[in-house]
Amino acid sequence: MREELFELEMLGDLFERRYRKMRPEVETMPWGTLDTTGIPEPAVVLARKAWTGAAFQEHRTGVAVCATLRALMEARAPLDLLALAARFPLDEVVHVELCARMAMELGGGTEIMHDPDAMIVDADDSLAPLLRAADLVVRFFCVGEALSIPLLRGTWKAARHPLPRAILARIVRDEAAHGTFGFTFLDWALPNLSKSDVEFLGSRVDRTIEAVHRQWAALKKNRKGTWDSVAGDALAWMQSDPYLDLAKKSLESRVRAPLRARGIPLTV
Amino acid sequence: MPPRRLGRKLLVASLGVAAVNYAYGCGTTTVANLAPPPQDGSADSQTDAAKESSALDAPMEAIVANLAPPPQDGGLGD
Repeated sequence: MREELFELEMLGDLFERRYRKMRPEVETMPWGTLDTTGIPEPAVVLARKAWTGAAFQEHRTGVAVCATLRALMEARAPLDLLALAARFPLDEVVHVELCARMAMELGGGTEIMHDPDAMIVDADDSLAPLLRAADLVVRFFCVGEALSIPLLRGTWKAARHPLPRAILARIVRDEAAHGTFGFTFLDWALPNLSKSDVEFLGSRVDRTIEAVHRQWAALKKNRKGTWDSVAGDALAWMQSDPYLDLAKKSLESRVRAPLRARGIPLTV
Repeated sequence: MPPRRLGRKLLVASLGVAAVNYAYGCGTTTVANLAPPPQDGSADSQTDAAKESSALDAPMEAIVANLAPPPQDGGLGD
């Protein structure tokens, strides 16, 4: 078990220029325009915490999409599908940078300690390559990414300041492809999977949804019902109750329904 | 020997501010799939400022989404 501080750096020079050329939109965002004057200090600290956490979670998502990409290659997934998936790690790197810079605009990152060896749970390497890939795809894409799209869009709509709006818009745009990818993969892979394989995938989805439910329960329990419109508008907050309503609807329409339509058995 | 390349910091953490620890048993109640940093206190050692701001914690929960479940919970690692 390791315990390391989550901080990030750039190498700069030629490498940064090449990176900027690959994703020029990052530098066109209205950096330096966020004025937190008038926003209560505790709200600013929470915003720093949230955006630092967002950077960390995007970082973890990067690990997840890399693990999935490896499994897809080992499974010899169609090359055009692989090419699409090969874009995802760069997308996540961009998202990490955007969220990290947003935290810095607010005054700096907050403290996150983590274990870099335990960022995700990889697939069981005793599984066949195709099932390994399918396991990761259903967990990370068919649940995680698919569910995230409407929630990110809702957060984007809640934002008023141009900077968080630009950041969230970029992330929403990228995630749209991530969210549909999982189901495209399934449409290709399912004919090659056995009934027991499909049941296994259903159980993995169930476990993931249960985890999401626990998270929502914690959010519901801890919500305070306090809403600061000044801070919310400036810092891109979405209130908990609308978030939970949207999340519940989205889980059904964006995750359960398309999985059931493909014959994935779900029990939760 | 080539000179060592030094990067510039992109994200600098303020130690002790709204601290969260994902490294040790902190994932039992904080699933990362669709949430930013945990706000249930299970792994936080918050600063006074962060504690005072707890009334605003819940709305912040909604800011992030596209996230992978952590090993301890949604990642099926238990």
